[in-house]
Amino acid sequence: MSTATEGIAAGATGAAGAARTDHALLRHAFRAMGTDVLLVLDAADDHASRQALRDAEAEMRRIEAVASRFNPSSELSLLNAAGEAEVSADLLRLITLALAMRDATGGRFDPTVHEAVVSAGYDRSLDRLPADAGAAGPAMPAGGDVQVDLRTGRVTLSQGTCLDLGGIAKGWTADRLADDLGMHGPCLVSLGGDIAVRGLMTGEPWPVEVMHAADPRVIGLRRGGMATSGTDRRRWTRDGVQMHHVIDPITGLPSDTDLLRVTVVADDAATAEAWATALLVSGSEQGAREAISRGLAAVLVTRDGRVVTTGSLADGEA
Amino acid sequence: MKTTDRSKRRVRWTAIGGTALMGVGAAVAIGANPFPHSDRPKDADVVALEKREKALATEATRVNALNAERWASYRVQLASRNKEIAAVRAANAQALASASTASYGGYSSGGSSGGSSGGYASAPAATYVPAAPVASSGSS
Repeated sequence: MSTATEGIAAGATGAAGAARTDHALLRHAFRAMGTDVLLVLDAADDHASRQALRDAEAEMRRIEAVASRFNPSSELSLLNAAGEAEVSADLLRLITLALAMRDATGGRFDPTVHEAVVSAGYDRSLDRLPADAGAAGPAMPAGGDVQVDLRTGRVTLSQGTCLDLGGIAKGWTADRLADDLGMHGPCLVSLGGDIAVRGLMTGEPWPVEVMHAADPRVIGLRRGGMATSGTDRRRWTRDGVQMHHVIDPITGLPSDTDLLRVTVVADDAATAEAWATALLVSGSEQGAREAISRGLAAVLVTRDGRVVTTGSLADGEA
Repeated sequence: MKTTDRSKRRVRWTAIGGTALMGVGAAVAIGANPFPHSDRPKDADVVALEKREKALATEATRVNALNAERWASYRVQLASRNKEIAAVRAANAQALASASTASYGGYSSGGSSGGSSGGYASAPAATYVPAAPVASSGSS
């Protein structure tokens, strides 16, 4: 697995107007959790900063070993296989967060979609999926019961329920790595669609590219997290039918609304990820209403190329 | 007859007095402990246990001292680390506040979703900006 670290002199002027020649935008790129990871740290280009980037990569690989559903020996896979287990503090936090977001989104984000995702054909990492492996399985509505005992850390899944923490695990990991890196300076952590920032990049918001209909736009992210959920990525074919990974928990099938892609900005990347998925499966009309009522800054792109923006992104583009 | 009775009573009282005197003498002798314990050889097991007890007490004292020393060192390091964390947070907060005041108005139209000026709290988390991106939020 390739890893690359590079430093680019910031050459920018700080917020207070003072030149910060000792600082650089250190970029550390690698692949993990089935996605391209980019860590950007605005700090002195020294051993401590580079070590912090390496530590963040190691931490990410550790979390992946806990929460990956594709690794049969991961803690999550063992829980799914056994139906109940006393889990580590990390997995307990992830599961309780995912269940809290299931409640908050009224079940439109649900970690118990595992069986539906597998039934749709996404039963191994995307790069190992066969080109076309026959018809997909039946619809598997989510909403399985998950009992969590916070005192003992015991998680019990109801019969036939398995957990898929993929999206929210990426958001949570982005938040966690940003917290760690933030101790060394302003930083951005990007795990594919999930982005978390801490502090400002040389005194300015972090510019992040977001695809609208066909053209990219740049959003300045000042704090918290951003996530994009879409049906245009992570696609595969079953019996000639195009499938994708965003499952509607109610129907138990890949989402089939008028939305192609949703980007949400929230206080943290995990929350943004859950809401991006929830709005996507809601459709443009209900999704936009929901985003506005909750004060979420969001970009909703429909399949026919319309773009709906809400919150602080609704007032025009630069 | 009278003389004989008196004589017998004297003998009886003398015997009683003598017995009492011997009792007192015996008590005094026992209290004085004329044959101290230490003179007897101690049981080997008891000696070994006493030795072990002494060694454990010494070890406990040493471990407690080491623990106290390490705790003190840890507290100093913790205080220093907390100080560093507070300094970084303060610097970040100050940079954010300064940047918000300096540049927020230039980026957004100041619509209903955010304030039009001022500090960090009123600046929206995200606005469109005219800048080259450092990252991309593709679909996850």
